[in-house]
Amino acid sequence: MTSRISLDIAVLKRELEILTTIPDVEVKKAKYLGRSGIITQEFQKLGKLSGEEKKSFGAELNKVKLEVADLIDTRLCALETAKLNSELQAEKIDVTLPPRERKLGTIHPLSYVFEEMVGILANMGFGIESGPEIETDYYNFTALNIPEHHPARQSHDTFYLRSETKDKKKLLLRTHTSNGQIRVMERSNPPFKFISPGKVYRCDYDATHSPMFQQIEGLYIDRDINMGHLRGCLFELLQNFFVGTKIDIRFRPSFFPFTEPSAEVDISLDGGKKWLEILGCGMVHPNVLKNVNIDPKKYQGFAFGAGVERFAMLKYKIDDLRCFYENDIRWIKQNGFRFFDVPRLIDRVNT
Amino acid sequence: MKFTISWLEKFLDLKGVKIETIVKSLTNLGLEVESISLPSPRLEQFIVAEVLERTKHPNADKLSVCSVNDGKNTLNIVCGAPNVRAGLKIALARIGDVIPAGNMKIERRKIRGVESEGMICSSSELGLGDDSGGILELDNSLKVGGRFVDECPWAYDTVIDISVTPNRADCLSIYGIARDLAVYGIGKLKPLPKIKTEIASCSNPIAVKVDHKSACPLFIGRYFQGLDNNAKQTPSWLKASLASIGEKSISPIVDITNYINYSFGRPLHAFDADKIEGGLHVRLAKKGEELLSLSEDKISLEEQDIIIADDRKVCALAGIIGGENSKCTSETRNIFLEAAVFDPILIAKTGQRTMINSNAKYRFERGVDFDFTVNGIEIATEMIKDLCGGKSSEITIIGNAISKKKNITFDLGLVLELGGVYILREKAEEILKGLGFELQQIDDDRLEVVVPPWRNDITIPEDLVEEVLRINGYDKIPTIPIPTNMAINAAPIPQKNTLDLRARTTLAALGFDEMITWSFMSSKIAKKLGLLDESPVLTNPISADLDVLRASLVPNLLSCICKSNARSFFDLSIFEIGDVFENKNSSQTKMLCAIRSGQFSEENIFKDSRPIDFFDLKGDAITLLDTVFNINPEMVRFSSSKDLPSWYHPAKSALVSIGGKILLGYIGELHPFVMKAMDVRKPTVAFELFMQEIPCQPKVKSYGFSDYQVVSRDFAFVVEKNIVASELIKAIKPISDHALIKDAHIFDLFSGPALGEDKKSIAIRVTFQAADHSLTEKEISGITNQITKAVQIKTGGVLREIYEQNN
Repeated sequence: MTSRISLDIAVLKRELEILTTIPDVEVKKAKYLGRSGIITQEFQKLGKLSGEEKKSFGAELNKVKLEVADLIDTRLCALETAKLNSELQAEKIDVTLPPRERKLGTIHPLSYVFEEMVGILANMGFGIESGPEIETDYYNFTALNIPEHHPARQSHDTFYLRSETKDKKKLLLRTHTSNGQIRVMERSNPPFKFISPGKVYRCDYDATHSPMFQQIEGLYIDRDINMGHLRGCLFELLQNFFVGTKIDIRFRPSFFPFTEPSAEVDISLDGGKKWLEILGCGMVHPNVLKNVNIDPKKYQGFAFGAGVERFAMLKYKIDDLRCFYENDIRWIKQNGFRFFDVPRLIDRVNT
Repeated sequence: MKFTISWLEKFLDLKGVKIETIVKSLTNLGLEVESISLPSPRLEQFIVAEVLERTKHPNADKLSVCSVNDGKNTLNIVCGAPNVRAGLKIALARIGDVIPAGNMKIERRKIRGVESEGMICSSSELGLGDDSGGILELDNSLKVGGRFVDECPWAYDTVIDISVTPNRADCLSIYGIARDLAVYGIGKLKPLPKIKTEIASCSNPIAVKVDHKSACPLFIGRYFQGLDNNAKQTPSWLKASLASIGEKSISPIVDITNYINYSFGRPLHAFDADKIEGGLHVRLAKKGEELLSLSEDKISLEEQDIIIADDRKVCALAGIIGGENSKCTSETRNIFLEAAVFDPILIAKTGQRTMINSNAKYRFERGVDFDFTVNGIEIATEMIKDLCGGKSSEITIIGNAISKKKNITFDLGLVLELGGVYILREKAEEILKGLGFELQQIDDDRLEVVVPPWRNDITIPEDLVEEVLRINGYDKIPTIPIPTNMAINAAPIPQKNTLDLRARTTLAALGFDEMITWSFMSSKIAKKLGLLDESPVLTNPISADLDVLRASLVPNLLSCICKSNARSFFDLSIFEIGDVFENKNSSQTKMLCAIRSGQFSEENIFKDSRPIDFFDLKGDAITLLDTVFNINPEMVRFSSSKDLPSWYHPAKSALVSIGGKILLGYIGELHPFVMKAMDVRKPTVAFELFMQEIPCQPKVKSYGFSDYQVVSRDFAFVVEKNIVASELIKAIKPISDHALIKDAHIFDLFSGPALGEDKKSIAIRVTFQAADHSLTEKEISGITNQITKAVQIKTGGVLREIYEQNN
């Protein structure tokens, strides 16, 4: 006698769908899979069978059991989820309420531009040297071929300090970062290729002059550095800095006591209609080299000085110089850079 | 330096040259054009006409009726000017023309019953100067019926303002500008009018004595007699030319000296000879002497000032400004005209001290053309006699009128060597000759160059290179990539150069906004904060509240907070990285200061609003030191101290150090007195770090991660109230099994009557983990016993349950 399970899965499915509460499904589960459930009873019949029959019936029974269990569990799970969801509704929040504040800060635009410029120049092979902001007349002027009553000094309205050096020399706030160049050249030997960035001071305050501003000066002295290299260097700096903008660059003659020949560099952002002064430069004056005991017959090179404010204003369309130092929190929040807007860090850092 | 195109055309033939070309060329020559002001196109409507007849107006005393020939017709015009007369050439506005001043349209209308068919214009009506005393009198040679703008180019002028660098004194003269342009290929330089040597028609009664040849190497004078110095004698073109460059017409004599100064860069000074008592004496001033200048400033003279005095008084500050006591007026009949050369350095010194910035001083301190001194006085003489009549004497010359020649040996190869551009020898020589240099060949490479007397700035071969490059065009210098000299380029950049940026980035991520405040601050504030002795003092501050250098970043940042508070921004987190200064050694130190003020979180629905406190900034400082400098947070010690700056709260502040050995900075809530002094309204906490003192550790990268079970145990120790939390942690660290301790942190504090007045309970959670096995219960209890024992020994702390059992 062969016993076959008489169970219609499709019927079970329909039965389950009608059930809407978990206890009802549990009852159904007991009816099929419980200790005296339909399927359990069928399994008990197995003992009475033998050989081939037992094997095939067993397999069939197992398949049915799994199928039934799966159907019931699925239903049970669905009902449980529905129940939980309906309970969770009680915890409903008003998603339109304000969030917890997350405050991020900003990097000052001048610091940002300063780092951009330093980064570009450092990656062009310039070292970085700094010098003191409180300086003597010698390092700020005399060594740079600016004698005491030279009219060129009039454009350097200088802040003087009441205190003096130990040997009674007048102290002043440096009017450019060239003092750092002199100090470096004095203590080491050519070739030189470095920038001296930092704050400088001039006693002048109006819409276009700030009593404190930031400069990056570059120096490259070797045996055969000429004005063509100066152009090459500044083109590279400017093109990297204004990357993505089409710029025209113009060199025109100018005068600085510490360079000869000297040039002023203008850039145009509108194809040459309007030119904007951007930096001054030239070939280092032989007197400057002599002052630091370098033979101008053997060595020559260029120097340039750029105002960070000017670069920042041109690239980031800032109209008023005075905003940089007013520290109006509203302006800072608007014009400052986010922490992840980090200018490319110098590649050659010694770690 | 301003000049007009018509003035330039006196020296330079500019036929066919466009204004734009001139402007571009000036800039390319290094004479940067600052502004251009184009003439009013509205002047184009007017024509030159002639007054044929003038009759009195029948119905008005002050008016006249003129018949005016405009070249085609004779018009009837009513005119109110006193100077209108028959035979006069005038600028005529016809019916329909609009007068530039006041936008008045000329209409046919009756004036007091007489019909007027136009208007005779004055300078002010044409916008050519402020001469509204009468109508503009034009030169008699002009063509009647011609366009006013064609006949009077000086009236229809473009004004160009250039910025002249301090070396180019030769271009503080319109002739000098013309010379530069001509060499550059713009226009043709006209020869200077032949300079006539006047034959004396009277004698010079004024003797001149010069004391110091070094102060005044050349002095030339001439006496004039019987002049008419009435303002009327200045012709319209001269008035208009001076007006267009912003110089007022004063009197013919003064106008002529100004004209010579602008044309040739040759300063002159005219004394009213009748006001000179005795002779003139060029000497250095004596202490106590004074001069009331032309501009009516009283100048106290000092011993380095060069003066021109007569027998009784100081008449002029030589080379700078004349004296009120000897100035020319419209009544002046006899003058003594001076043309001299003064020492540039003495002039500059006196100029700086007296703050007088005259045209003469500007030129003398930059260096004038020595050899042109005689020419200057001769050209002026001719003009004076033309305009004012009278007689003139011989010139008196003290010194040698011709300067010593300066020679430079110039190797032409230097142009390529320095300039990077190859310029043909012929081209270079042509440039130098055009600029007035005399050349002699030495050999194939070298020239002996004689510098013209107007180029005091040229002293070395490099200066000549610039001249050649400048005229050849800087745009012809090639762009050469800088050499990739590996020896220089490969030098590593020290890490310190990136620390500022890393710190800025970290602080911005922590919510701080970066400020850049002045290096200056107010001495008043410095005094309030006890910083005055340390702050270097400026002798010439930009303003009274920026008169010392900051000795700390804190005050200026507090000012930022105060300013924001005034704008109703109270919750602020700001920082600055910058140098502070110290008076004693005039030294500077780089500091970082971060400040939070106001609420950490605003009042909110989450009920977690609270003000900023010490521990916010402590967290910021630790994160910063860890992230930027790789300093293990466990190494950073915060210790209460009396050695903190006065602006910190004495009980809520600490020194920040590495293990108590390397001082990194300070942290603390601000002292209430500072808050009040700086008008900061909300709770404020700051930390300051000495950037240069912070050792930058290498980042530890290899770290064995253990996958074995992490176990933690909580301890509550009852300790004396004066025991600080870090002592507990310090006690735990050195136990023998410390390698198994991964973390120990304080999570609760309790004090209350139950513990006793002088006690508190500190709860610590210690986490254990082994690298190579799961910890057994035995091991864990071993460690916990060690911990308990160590805490008891080092701090006297007792586990709270034991303490409570015993008490």
